[in-house]
Amino acid sequence: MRIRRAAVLLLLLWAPGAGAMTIERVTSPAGIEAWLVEDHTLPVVTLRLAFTGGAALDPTGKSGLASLVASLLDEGAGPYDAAAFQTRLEDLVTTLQFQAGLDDFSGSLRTLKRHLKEVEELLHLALTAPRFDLNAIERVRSQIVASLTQQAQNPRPLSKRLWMRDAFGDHPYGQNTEGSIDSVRAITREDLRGFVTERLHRTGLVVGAVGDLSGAELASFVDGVFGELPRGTSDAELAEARATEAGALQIMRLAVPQSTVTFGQAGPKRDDPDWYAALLANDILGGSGFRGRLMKEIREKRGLAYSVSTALVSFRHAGLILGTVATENARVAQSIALIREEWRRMREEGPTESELDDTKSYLIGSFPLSLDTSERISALLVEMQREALGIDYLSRRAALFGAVTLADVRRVARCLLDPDGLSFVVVGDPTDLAPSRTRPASRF
Amino acid sequence: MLADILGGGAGARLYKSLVLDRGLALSAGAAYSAGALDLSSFRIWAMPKGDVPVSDLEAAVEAELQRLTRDGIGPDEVRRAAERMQSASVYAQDSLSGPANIIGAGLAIGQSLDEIQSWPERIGAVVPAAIDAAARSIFVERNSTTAVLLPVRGS
Repeated sequence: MRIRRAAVLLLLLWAPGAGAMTIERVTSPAGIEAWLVEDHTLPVVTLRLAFTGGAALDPTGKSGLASLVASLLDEGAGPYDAAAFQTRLEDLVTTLQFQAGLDDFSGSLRTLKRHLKEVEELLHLALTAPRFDLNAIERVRSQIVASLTQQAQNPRPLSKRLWMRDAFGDHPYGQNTEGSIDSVRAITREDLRGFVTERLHRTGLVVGAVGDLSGAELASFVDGVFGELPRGTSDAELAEARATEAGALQIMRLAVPQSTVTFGQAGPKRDDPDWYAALLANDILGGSGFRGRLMKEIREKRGLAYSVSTALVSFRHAGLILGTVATENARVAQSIALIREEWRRMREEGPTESELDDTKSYLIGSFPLSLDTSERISALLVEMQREALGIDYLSRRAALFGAVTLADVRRVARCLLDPDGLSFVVVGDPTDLAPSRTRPASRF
Repeated sequence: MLADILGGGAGARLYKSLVLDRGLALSAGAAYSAGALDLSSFRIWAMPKGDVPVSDLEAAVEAELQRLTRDGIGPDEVRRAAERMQSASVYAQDSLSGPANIIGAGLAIGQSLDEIQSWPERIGAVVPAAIDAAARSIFVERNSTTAVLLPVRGS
């Protein structure tokens, strides 16, 4: 049944100019807005919510606060201690998770229609009356410390974190979302409570829901969950940040047989008028799978790596083009030289007409396939609101790519891609490479 | 159902006992791969908290297994597990690739389409005594292997 519905959805999205799935704007009696894709195929409701302001607003010395709160909201609330709350969720066959990003604090929920009322109460309790029992705090803190300890030995997250720290320096974007072992240990119960009172408010709240509920049912649900939250005011705005473009090459020595490299530089933010041209330039250069030029040069022609890709990363106050590759220790320099060379070639020559056409049709046509679950659709509903894309975005998306010309992509590639400003962080034991700066092994 | 009741999540026996009640572990769970033609494996894992010795953790897992084979599983636990698993099959349909994977994997090991589609009903028909019997046949020490991953010395 569901399969047929999804197929119809895809056809609608593919049909040029056709309206995609219907997104309804619901405003609750208490004045809370939520976007809804109503779909009664399965008795399932999926909901995603996001508060503005995330880990980048963590106080100095307490980085990891938002993340610790996220891990603790489902560890006991109201009359339920951690075990009772988890058992309740299991009995209602409901998944409820919270997550802190740099710019927002989000939650996701999946439940069955018949449990919606009970789940409304649980989510309401989690957001307004989390218990923060001391034994739960200590248990979750130990789990996070263990995870940070593991990450410190894991080249991929390590190289990305080092890259972010070097690119943003003292700006909060340079902080690890999960914090450091020391900062996580410094967080108190009062800090956790303070976060909930100060940060979980209605200003900037965004909600997206998909599934077996009507607009009226969603309105009643959001009022039940968020109605009592303080109205709040906009959170303190961070300063705009720009990744440094020092063109540095740093090595963190780790005794592993293969090196992992994170590389990148400043890029456009999501609201940049050239966003779609930049997406196309990025995908032609470093698209994942076998699309990008980097993949052709580094994997297909030379077998240096299984994968190499780049992506545009847009934060609220900074944009990046960020890539990653992992290769054997003796051939890191070769991979890096190839990346710089492809960066230069794309900057100077831009893409060909056929590369641009292929990439446009890929980015337009693959999009509906990425919306094959309610969770992905509800995440999209939140992103559309968060980025102010407009409720009609899905019907305009193909045209936004279509309107980009070869001249646009060439112009954007010229200002986006600077091979000399491209910075690399290598984690591993490269044998063919001299750093411009070697980082001592650091403790996170 | 045995894997779900023993170690399917934060409300399951192992997590409740080792992580929540006794504070010995950071995580604990169990899993069984049902999609196999021949004998499959039933896996149990746990990660110790802080300096808790691995032997204490093993003893705690052992105690849970003994409690299970000795006292059996109550009808209420079975009913709740059945509801969770049946609901999981509803959630699995909320995807394009999910149902294709389930059907393909089932057909590949010789199941019929009817068998695949009637899975939720068959889960609902499982009685506690059948799970107890499964536990007694699986949790036999001579059939088990334990692996311990320790940190690199000095790191």
